[in-house]
Amino acid sequence: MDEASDEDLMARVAQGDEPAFRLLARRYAGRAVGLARRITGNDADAEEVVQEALLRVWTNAPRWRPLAAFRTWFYRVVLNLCLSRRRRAPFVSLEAAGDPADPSADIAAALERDQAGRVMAAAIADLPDRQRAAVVLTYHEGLSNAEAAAVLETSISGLEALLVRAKRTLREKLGANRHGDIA
Amino acid sequence: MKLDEFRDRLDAQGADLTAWAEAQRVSAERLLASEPAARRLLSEAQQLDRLIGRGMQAGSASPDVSAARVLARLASPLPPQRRVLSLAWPAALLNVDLAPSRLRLAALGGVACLGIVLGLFGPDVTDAALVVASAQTDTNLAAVFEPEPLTGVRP
Repeated sequence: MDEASDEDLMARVAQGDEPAFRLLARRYAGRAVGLARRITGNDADAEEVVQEALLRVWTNAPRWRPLAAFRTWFYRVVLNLCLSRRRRAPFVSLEAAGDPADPSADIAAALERDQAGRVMAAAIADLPDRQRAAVVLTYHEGLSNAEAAAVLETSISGLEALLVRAKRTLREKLGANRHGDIA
Repeated sequence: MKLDEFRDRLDAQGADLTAWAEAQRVSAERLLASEPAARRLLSEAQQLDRLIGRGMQAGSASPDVSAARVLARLASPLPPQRRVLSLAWPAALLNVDLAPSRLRLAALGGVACLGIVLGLFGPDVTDAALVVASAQTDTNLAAVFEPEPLTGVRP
């Protein structure tokens, strides 16, 4: 069963096959947590969102129709849950949360890379929700523009417009000189 | 392709030109060969892509621990699935194998059709006495339920 496609597993889940569901959950839990964490900004919310999304997969499986790839549908569920959660609770950006202590402070190069990443992570976290989602889906999940557009329920040109606006904002925030220095 | 369009393409589709559509890639490579400004834009876009990739990795622990917690919470008995009968019955009908009983179904359909034809065009077998009795019954019932002539009050 481990080699079964997502769609085959979903067909079994629709028949109430619990082991198939647990296999599907194991397959996607890690990636979904990573995606949700990037959108919600914290681990606790991300875990709750993914748990809720997986339960929805189970309860709604009999009504699922393979009109789109399972991954696209599941990411859409995760993303919608993340965005509705963010609308309910104000988000504290990574920058505002402060930096945790780094035990490997003697490694200057790693620190510099880490710092660059943190600055960018904070800038991404401050993007409007859909722009951030577009960036996360394409850069974190590695989805193609067509797949990311399907997850966001928009057209490819709509997704590309989100990416263009997001990158312009990121450039403005980071400053051309600065990102040249820390790249 | 103009510089402005090239910049928008870089933002929309990323700095990896090999992922672009063939026609756009060829046009972009032509621009890169002739325009130093285009090469600078490409270099900046590559730097930005690298930084975004770094931003995606920064400040987050491996999702494995969180995923394990989520999976552990799912270990308790799962809730019942939502089954919609209106969606389920067409599929159930499609799964019914009618082949073995085709002849019997055809015979049943034929008899039903014959009954309809006989009912519409067959001989009139109504009993005349029964028709009269029925008409009288209708009249009596009408008298019972007719409103009072002066006041209009119904019984």
